[in-house]
Amino acid sequence: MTQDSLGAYLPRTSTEALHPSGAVEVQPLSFRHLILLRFLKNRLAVISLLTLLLSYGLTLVAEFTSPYSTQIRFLDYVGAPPQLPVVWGDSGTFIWPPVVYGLKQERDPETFVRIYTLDRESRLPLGLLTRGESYQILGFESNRHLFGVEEGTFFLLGTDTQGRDLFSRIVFGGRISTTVGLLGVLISLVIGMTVGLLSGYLGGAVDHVIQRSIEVLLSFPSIPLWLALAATLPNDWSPLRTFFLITIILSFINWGHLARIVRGMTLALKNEEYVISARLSGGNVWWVLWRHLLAANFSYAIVAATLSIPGMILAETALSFLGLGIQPPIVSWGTLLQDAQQVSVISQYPWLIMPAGFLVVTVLAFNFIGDGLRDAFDPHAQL
Amino acid sequence: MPSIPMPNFEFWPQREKSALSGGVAIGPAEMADDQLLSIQDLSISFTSVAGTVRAVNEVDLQVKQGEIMGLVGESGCGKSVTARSIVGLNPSPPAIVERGRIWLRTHNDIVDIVQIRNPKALRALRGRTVAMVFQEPMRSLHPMMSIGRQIVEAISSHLDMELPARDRAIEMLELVGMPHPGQVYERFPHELSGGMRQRAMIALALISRPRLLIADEPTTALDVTIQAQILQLIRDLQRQLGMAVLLITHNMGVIAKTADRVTVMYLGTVVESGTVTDIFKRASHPYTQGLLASMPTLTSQLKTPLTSLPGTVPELASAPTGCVFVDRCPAVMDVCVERPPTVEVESGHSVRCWLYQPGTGPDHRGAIGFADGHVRAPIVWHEGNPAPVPKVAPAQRPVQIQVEDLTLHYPIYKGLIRRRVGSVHAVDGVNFTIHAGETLGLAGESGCGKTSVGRLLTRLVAPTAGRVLFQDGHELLEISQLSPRALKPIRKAMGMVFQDPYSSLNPRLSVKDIVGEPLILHQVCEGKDLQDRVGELLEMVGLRPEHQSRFPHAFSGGQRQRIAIARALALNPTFLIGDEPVSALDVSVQSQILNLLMDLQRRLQLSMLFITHDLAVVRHVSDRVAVMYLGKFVEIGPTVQLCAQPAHPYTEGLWASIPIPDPEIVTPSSIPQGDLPDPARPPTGCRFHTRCPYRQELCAQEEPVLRPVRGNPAHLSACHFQDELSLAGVTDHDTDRKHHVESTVT
Repeated sequence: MTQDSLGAYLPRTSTEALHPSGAVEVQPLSFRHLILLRFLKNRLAVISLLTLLLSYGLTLVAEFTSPYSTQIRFLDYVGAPPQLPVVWGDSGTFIWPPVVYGLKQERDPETFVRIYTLDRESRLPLGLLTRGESYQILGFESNRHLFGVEEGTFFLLGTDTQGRDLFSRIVFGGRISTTVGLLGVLISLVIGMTVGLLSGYLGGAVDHVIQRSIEVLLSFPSIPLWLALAATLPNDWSPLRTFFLITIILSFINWGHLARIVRGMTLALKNEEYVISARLSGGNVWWVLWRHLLAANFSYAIVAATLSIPGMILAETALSFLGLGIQPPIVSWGTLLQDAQQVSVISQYPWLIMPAGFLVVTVLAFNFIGDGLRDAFDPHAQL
Repeated sequence: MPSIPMPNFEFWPQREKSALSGGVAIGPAEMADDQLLSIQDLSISFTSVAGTVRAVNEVDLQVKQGEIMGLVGESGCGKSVTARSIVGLNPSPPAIVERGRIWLRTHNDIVDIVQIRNPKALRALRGRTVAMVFQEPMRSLHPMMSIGRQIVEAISSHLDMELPARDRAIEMLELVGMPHPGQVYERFPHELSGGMRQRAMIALALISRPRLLIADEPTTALDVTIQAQILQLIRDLQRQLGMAVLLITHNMGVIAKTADRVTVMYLGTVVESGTVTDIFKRASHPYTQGLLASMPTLTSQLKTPLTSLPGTVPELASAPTGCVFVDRCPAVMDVCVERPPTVEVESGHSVRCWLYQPGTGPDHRGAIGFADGHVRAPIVWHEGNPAPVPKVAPAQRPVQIQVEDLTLHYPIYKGLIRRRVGSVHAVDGVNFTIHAGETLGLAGESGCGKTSVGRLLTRLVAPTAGRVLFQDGHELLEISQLSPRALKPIRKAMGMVFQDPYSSLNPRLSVKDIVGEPLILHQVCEGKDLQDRVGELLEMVGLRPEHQSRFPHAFSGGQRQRIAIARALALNPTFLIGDEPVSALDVSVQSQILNLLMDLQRRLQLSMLFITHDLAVVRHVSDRVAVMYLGKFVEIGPTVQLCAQPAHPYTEGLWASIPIPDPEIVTPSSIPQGDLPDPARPPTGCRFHTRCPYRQELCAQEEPVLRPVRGNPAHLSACHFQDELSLAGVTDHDTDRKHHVESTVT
């Protein structure tokens, strides 16, 4: 068939024909472009995203970021307070590079409690890429650390009751805690989407059975269920293996919510005309699910998943806090907070509560990103 | 409509509850005494992340007291935004009034709505001076409040009156033609039908006796027969209450039947305004002329190409800067890149076009026109190819698909153990045959089961009973019981085009993936071959082959529908089902798609089932027409006979309900009254007897069967009295009409 024969109602799409004035044909913004624009407009979400990217980057190379390793004990500095870098000297002079003052340890003559005072005589210059303990990371061996002092000691956030550097432990702990969130949500995303898509698309008896099962699963109180599952883990397993199993246990409960969201979306989408026409074209269940419904659901699932990462992180922290999750010597934010369980400890070493601050910031950041994504994906959003 | 008892409005307090405050009350000198609303030079723009677009551009609009002003235009032309600005309902941001004035005469003085910043003052205007009725009544009524309470609430918020509010509300419901107003008072919106809800909505809007009623697409969501009732009601009420109505619609027919004066909008600009006769008899702007010419009328030559406007409506963001119609206008001149002036071609009839500005254009076309005493420059539109007359009558060709006693019942379950309490009779024993190369039009109101018939033929749903026989190239094959695997080769021979081109194309796939999907699934071709075949298909439907890497969002509604047609034809089917394929499209694009479908059918020798609620469309494209009512065929026959001499009262009613875009044609008033009955409990006997103007006792007792009309085996009808009744149809009064036009001109 030639174009001429249909020329009568051929739309004039060329730019020249459309606009005698020579105006440029304007392409409407693509779906992805619009989402990106909307997301970037949300300042809080963008800042949160940058914060998280930075923190994931830093914790990924924790050996390099932290001045010390997690298990090294400084017996002379048990329970030392945070040492803050100083830029302005006592007399108001500008000091560069920044220095930290050394700590002088005394004992209270009556209670024998250790008292640390700043030793203004010993000034330790703070440096970047300082030499310290050697470590192995990604097959490289190095002894350079992001920052630190070459002589003496530097505890940015103080030390714990056993004389271990708290900042280093928070960095290492963050690696475990935030990875649990991501990994766990990834697992529940896969399970939740598969089950949700099948349940929504197939409908009928399959849907009925799946939905009732999810209801049963979600009606268990979660903490006792975790306790029971965690108790089944053998004691002689390596901490890393335990860590992975804890992640799977957490996602095991989490996928139910996601599956329900995906099922609801699928129910609405399966009667869209493009799905019907895919069926008419000879597409079977897997074709329709994979080609049409998966992609359509994905944006919503990503939002739901992002918003459930904080829950995962908190759950891991809660389990570890109760002593059932991650076991020492592996450090997580939960195990760190275990040290801050008693009021007497906190009153004496208030800086031990610091991991909670990092936890709050991370959780908030994930929530802000989730909110930002949801608004960006919302087709009715006005902006 | 019989005269409605008028409530005695004299008793009603005229005092407003809260005096207008905050408005700028200056009477403009240029506002004549009989003018109620005067929009002057209004521009409104919307800001989004994608940029700023001007939705309303230098609009002038006047509404006189006690007239119906029709505001007509295609989707996105800015008609709703204009209307909403009158009551200050545009959300700001993103809407910004760049400039202009909206003068409105209230009970006490004249105010400029643009300048009112006080929300309380605006609220006092709404309801009291201006009331609004929207398209979807279900969304404008509160779902958790009874109709009566909502009306009473409106009374007490606008008028200082406690009692007898209930009596007033019931009086109002009676006024809008609500049967059993006392009972309706207690009902909730979901218990009413669409037409009844719209009546309730009108009652709610009119309770405070506004001076201006803005009706924004009030009948678009309704069926033709209900639409005709509601339009009649609006006209009657306007006359009785002496109010003005601003009627916004995309439907030229509705405007012709209802409005006194008309304003035509295109891409945010008023292109033409005048009396209804000015617009329909002496349309001057090329856009108005094209729009009127491209509509399938009830008098057009069957199956001929329709006149169509070229191209598509551009996005607002890329609207031409000069004359907005410049890219589609056949009479385009060099001067058109500048914004044209508004020229008054005759008293009260003005056009925004350079053609009518004296002294412009290379050949001074406009000026010459005036000198000769003509008021319009007739635009020559490109006609489509003339269709060759088919040599063999379709009935003599082999059978493509044959349907016997096709039935589809949906069970209704209730209660905890999901007991079956009844069934919805979606399709109830339907018989028909479509021959090779023939088009059967399937017409009917919503809920009559026409879409279900389409889905049954393609086996998207399995029939409850009956058989579908399909010609697979060798024999007529029973396909209603085939397994999904055995069905796959059959479906290869069937194509389907859906109503909504926005939902029928997956927005995340490229055009190549969409059109190529059937080719991949049936392993017809892949790789380079696939690309070539998709390009060929796109070319066939009038798109460019190189656009196959684009995504659907880059195409307009009409272009998307072309893509959907390309996909339906990918596997060279012999049978095509069009489920309302043009209903979601704008008028100026609709004729393009109809032409394409008719042309393709002729070239590819397709058999077609054309499902639509639009009788003018079905009349134009079909060889035979079947009319469906509550799951059954009430009449089936050759298009010409079914139009000229309908045998079933329902068919007559359908023809009578169509708003014809010609204000001088007076249609018979045999519009079916009332609403469609519940398909779960169809009436006894003849299913139409509850709405039939000719019903007899027999009709409620005995169910009529389809039988030949006046001994013609090709024309069947299911009415007890089909041979006795003489019903009015649509005659081919092309000759009449021409005569008519001439007589009015002289």
